[in-house]
Amino acid sequence: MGDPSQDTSTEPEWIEAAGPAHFPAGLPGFEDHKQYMLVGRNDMRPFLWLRSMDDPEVALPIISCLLLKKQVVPHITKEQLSLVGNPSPEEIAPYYVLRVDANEGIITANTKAPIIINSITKQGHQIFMDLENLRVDEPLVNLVPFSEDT
Amino acid sequence: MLVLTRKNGESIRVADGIIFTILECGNNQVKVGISAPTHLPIHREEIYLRIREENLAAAQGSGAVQTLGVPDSLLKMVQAKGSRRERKWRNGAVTVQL
Repeated sequence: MGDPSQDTSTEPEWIEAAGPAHFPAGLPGFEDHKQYMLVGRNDMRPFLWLRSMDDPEVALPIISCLLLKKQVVPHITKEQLSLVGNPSPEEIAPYYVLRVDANEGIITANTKAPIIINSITKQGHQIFMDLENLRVDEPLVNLVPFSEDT
Repeated sequence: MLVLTRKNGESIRVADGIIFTILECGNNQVKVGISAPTHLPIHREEIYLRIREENLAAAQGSGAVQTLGVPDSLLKMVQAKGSRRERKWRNGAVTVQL
């Protein structure tokens, strides 16, 4: 994918959702990319893209964990919170990185390594959750809540 | 690669503030304690490589998400339950307009 915000076709407009967020350690695979913007498109809700400001060609599709099952915020450790400036639980914006298997038409979410952003300071970090029931390739359909009680 | 021999309880210091301590050794494995500044991420190598691989694949397949579109179950969620949770998110310091 190229830079989603640079799309010049007749597709719906890309919207800057939030940003810039600063990732002091970068992201695994993109260690040199420290600044990201959250962009999205109205017709692609609730998906967002974390677009590198260091290289617009780099954009990772993400989704807010707050919308899904398997909440991560209660399991974030103090050490992990310190990586983004010790926000309160309400100040954490957590996201799963999404991956598409184009052949199978399946979207998976990396629940093992969510991205957390301090919504106040905009510091971000991809943390690793040391929990057995989390996967790097959880089918997204498994995370969609089906009732108000889930 | 620098190779150092250490016994149980002994440490290795790297620069200022990073200390590796051998806590336990035996049964074909070594337990290592690591003391480092909190801003330095520390990971098991194989896990780091797996996450790295996932991120690279996610970025590479980013356009396919648009092609595939939003699954119906997610659309329904956004229209129903999701909207409630998104309002909560909008009330935070970061405004998500989507």
